[in-house]
Amino acid sequence: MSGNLLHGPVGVVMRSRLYPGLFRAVTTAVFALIMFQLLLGPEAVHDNFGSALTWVLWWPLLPLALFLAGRAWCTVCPFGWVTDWVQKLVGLERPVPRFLKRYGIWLIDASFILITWADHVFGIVSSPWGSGVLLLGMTTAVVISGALWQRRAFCRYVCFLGGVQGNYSRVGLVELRADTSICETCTARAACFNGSERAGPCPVFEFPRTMDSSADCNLCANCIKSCPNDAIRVSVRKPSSELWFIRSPKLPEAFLAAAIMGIVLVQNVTMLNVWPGILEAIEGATGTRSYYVSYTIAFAAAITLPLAGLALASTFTGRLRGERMIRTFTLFGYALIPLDLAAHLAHNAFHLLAEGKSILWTGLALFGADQPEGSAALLSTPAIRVLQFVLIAVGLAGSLYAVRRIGRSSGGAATVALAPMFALLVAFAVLNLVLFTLPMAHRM
Amino acid sequence: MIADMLRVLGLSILVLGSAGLLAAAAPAADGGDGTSAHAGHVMAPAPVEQPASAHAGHTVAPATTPTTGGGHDDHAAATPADDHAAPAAHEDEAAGHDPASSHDPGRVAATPSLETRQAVVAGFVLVNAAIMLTALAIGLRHPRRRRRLA
Repeated sequence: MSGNLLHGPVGVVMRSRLYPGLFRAVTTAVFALIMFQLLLGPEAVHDNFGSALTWVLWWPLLPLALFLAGRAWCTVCPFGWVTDWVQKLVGLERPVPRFLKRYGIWLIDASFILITWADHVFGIVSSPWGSGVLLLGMTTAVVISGALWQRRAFCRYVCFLGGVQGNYSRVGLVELRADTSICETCTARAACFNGSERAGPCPVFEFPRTMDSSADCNLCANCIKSCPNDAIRVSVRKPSSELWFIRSPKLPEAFLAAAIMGIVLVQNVTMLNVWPGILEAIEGATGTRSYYVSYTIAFAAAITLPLAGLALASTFTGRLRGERMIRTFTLFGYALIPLDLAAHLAHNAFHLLAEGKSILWTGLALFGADQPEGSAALLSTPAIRVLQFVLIAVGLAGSLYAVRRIGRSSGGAATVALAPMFALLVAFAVLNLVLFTLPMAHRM
Repeated sequence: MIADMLRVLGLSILVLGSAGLLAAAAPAADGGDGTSAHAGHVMAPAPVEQPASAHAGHTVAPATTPTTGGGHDDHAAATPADDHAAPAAHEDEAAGHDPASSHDPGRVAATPSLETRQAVVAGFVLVNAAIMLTALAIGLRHPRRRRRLA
């Protein structure tokens, strides 16, 4: 779609010796401040600068960053810095266990779902202390990984955000690829993978020559610096185009795509006025009086809904295309990702735009300033709602088109066979739109 | 070898420092009831639930027309989750339920006292330093295993 971005200012930045270290130093310093605030700062979430930075700024902007710049965030993530330093100090540099390589993505899926569940049950987001303890736990996992294994094994095989980030990056605008015609004549012994005197090895075990996905690439620029043949390019591509030609679709990635739809739904629902009614209905049906049990039932139902919907649509589409349901599920599960991303962005747009000023206010409070009167919103509710609707519409269009392209590239061009998938996506989009029309609670 | 010794020394200082911090904080730790054992001052009990009000001193516009009455001074009035948890506490109205579940316990993690939090942070540093020391000890015993990054 576009030329090599490395020929412009992007290339100057990425080839610089200061990249990514300078950016990482900034994020690490901010991370330290966040940790201090979360763990030892104000107890109330609406007074805590760490909570505001994490849940009103970083978390809503993360999906947008993934769309615009792939997993570049991962290369400046403070946990990567921790990994590097632990490795330099005490790293045993052992190979990543085969178990992690094979089942890591399922662990990522499971841990993401578990942490999302725990967020509501234990109030992680709504409590600075809860958020801080989560980050402490993650830091310990990073230290263990850095002490034991090579490179950034945690980021590639363990980080619970890795699955989400990988899926969203597939939809993203940027890709790093190697010119295979140059690589065929390369005599540098895979310097892009192994590293050179100019830069370290690929931290996430990617080999640019064969890389056909942006799901794991961190855009750390190590391969760019190490390649003696200037064979690496970074270019802008059509959004979601990677989904159209998935060479080796993986069930856990399709599973996560459907699960994220459920997670966004349940996150929305718990912030709505209908939530108490749903809880009462669950309590009435089950006889339980425990909030934990009621929420868990609602959470499980929300996760199951899109999975069951995708399975049902895959059953019909699979029959019409003459393929097994699980194959159709895996293939077309990727088509949910644009709508996932849109729903995620739309949900978080509310938090960022309706509570954005709280970042400034809690920041000023660090210097003793009183919190001012007035609304914390950056945009009016109707304006935010219009934005949410536009996002869902764009996401739906991206998902519908992805279904069409996946159908065409995988051997079955008949539109009628894809009708169940189209119907499923429209249903999810409508469900999201309905939820966004309802009053939503704030995070801060 | 000198570099390894320096690492051991540095990590040992880290461990001992953390242990000291932990020891200093532990007697003051309250065991979670939210009151401090420090002589001379008493900390407020740790809030079990997030207070219903949001930013002190400012109003937050409702997400949309509030269904729980207009003109509220805070978003919390229209917060569905709070509606569920707060005074309504519909669970209380039912006989025979577990009282522990009547305050929507899962929504906000209880915040321990500052001393307890300091102790947890010190414990975290201690545990991580121990992990790193263990890795270093293994590496020192089996130097060939330690292949450094280029």
